[in-house]
Parts: sequence; structure tokens; C-alpha cells
Amino acid sequence: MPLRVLVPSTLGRGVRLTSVAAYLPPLVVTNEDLAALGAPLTPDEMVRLCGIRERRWAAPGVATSDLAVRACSAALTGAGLAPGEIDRLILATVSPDHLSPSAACVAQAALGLGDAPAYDLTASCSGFLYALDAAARAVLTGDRHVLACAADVRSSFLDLGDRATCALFGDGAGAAVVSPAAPGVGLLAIGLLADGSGARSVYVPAGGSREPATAATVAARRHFIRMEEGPQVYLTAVEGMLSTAEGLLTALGLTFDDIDLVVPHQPNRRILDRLARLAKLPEGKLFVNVEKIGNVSGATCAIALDEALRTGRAKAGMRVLLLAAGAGYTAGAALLAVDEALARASS
Amino acid sequence: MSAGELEATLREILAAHLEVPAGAEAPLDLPSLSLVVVAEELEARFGFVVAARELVAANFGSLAALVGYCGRKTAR
Repeated sequence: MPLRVLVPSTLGRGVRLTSVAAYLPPLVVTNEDLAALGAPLTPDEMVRLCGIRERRWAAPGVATSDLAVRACSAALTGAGLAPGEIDRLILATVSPDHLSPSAACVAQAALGLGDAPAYDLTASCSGFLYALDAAARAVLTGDRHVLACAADVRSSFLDLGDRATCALFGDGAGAAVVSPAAPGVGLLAIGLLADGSGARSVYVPAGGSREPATAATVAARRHFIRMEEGPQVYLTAVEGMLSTAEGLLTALGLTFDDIDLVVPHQPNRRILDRLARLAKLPEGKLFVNVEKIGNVSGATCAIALDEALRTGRAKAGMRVLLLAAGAGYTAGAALLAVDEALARASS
Repeated sequence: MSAGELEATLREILAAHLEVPAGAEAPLDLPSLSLVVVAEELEARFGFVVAARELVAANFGSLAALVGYCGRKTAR
């Protein structure tokens, strides 16, 4: 089935990102730190298998909403907006503070967003693009400004004894203020898809309604992230990002040659190398920061976009393709025309 | 490349990751984390792309299965 693509200009309207921001907790955890904590891989093996050398972890007691608030506050500052001008907060996460209520509601109160609706959505590593899609649709139907945020504290769900996942994940948050614009400006198109046949590819088995937390589930370490078919997940992530990218570009009559910079989700270095090879991307067209950030689930793409803007890798006038794929399976692609104001707000 | 040459090449690739059993039908005890590395080495050596749905025992479960898989992929 062709990718269903939202192109705001076809509705006679436009949507832009007024600002992008990210927050990373200060604690740097190196591969050597993980090995010292008992991880069953050597630091060299971690680099060879996933290309990640360090990641950030939230301190004990710090939750997803805390990181989201920091990223959203920075995005509000970048946009020059007061909290009262935000009509909605959408927070993508797979590691909410609690199963209920939403982390978005906790963040909404901390941010002082008044009575603006706030909700979580779950799309794993595609979280930021799912939040961006929902925010764009809200703006197209009348909201003034929407905070699209993705935040995760994956370290709280990490089994340091699991070879498949111990080195992959970090913590952090990214956010964008999404606002109305003239047609053909800013967010040019966005497309999402899901394939639920991969629902158990990467998951936390216990703690939900199917397998409530008990002493037995905790003893069996079933409250941690599990990736039971790692090789399939690896190839599927690349296939997901490639197919959504090609679906979006085809719908717009474009190719990778028309794109200045690809900012993908950063699951691991090998996946990004494979993506670049299969998409035939020239050196430098793929933004990579996984070595120092790790996989921050749904927040990764937002964190990468923020860094690309701040460092000038993404500049005004560029067409930037955001890509993500993750557990579920979920995937998404978005085409962004970086305007002067966004580049300035994020520098 | 003949089937014999293909098997010899695959034995060489696999030897970096595990002790390859003498019998072609014996199960390959390929660690999960090495499976992707082997798949990408096959891609580099033979010029095809391994799809996620192809990472199954029917293709990677034994040396004989792998010979058949690579033979089919390179014949396309």
C-alpha cells in the first residue's frame, strides 16, 4: 500500500517548525562504565556491534516528564512564545513517568500550559515523527501553536545483563514548536506507517495489562526491554526507513538527490551505514550522532535535528528529510524546508 | 561459481564467527549478534541485499541452507 502522506499545501495551508530544541541529562555513561557495571560485552565489542561509545542517562529519580519539560522550555524560548500561547502538548514516549496518568499531563503542569490539552502517544523510535504528524494536523485544524515533544528514560528499563540491548539506549528529549505558515513553507510533507506484526520485536514484556508486574515477573527480569529477534529488527529498521523515505519522496515527485540532508533516527551505527549504502547517499548527506548519544528511542530524531540545526549542518534553504523506524513496527518520514527563522531560533 | 566453490567461500566467511561443522546439514550455531555481520559480508561478497524476512533458519540454519540461499540470490 502506498504511504499515506500529509502535504499541508494541498489543503491551502502550511505548517512550520518555529523552533527545535533538545535536552540531554548531564550524566555521561561510557562503554567502559557499562562494562564496569557488569555488562556482558567489552567496550570494543560495543563499538564493533553498535558504534556507540557513550550515551546520557538520567539521574535516579529523574523521569521522562522532567526531560520533556527541559526540552519544551528551550523550544518555547527559541520560538519566543509564552506558555499560554501553546494550544496543545503531544508527548511521544515509551517510558512514561507512570502507566497513568500521562507524562504529558505532568509536563503540562510543570510548563504552565494552563488548560491546554496534553497527551502521550506511543510509537517507540518513530515517536517524534508521530508527534509531529499529530501536531501538524492540530495546527491545520485551528491550533495556534503546538508542542511536539519526544522524551524517554530508557535507562530505567535497561537490563545491563542483556547482550542485545545493554549498550544501545540512552536518555533525552527533543521538542519542536509547530505553528501555522503559508502554504509550501516549513513542513512540506509527512507520512507514517505501522506494521503490527512486529509488535514483539522490541518490547517490555511485563508491567502492562497482559502481564501485570508481580514478584515473579520482576525476578524473571521481564520489566526490562527485550529484543528477541535483533537481526530481523536491524534489517527491518533499515527497510522501514528506506520504504517510508521512498514513499514520501515518490509522492512528492522527488528523489534523494533533491534532499540536502537526511536526519534519521539513530538506532546504531551499523544500521545508519546500511541505510546510507542502500539509499546510495553520498558522504556527508546522512547526519549521524549516535556515537555520543546512543539510541534515545522516539527522541533520537528530534535530538539529531536540534544538533544539525545548532551546528549548521542544517541551514536555511535546505531540504531536510527526517526518517525513523522502530518497534511496533512503526516508521515515518517528514520533509522539512528549513527557513531563516527556524535556523535562527535553533542556533 | 560452482556449489563446491560457494560452500568453500561460505565456510571461509563463517569461520570468523563460529566453528563451522564438518557436515553441511548440521545446524549452524551462529550467535544472534553475528548474524547481521555475516549477512552483510554475504552482501559485500555476492552483491545482493538480504531482506529481514530472509533471516530465517531455512536460509541461515545450516551450511547447506546457506549454500542454497546464496545460490538462489545470485541466480536472480
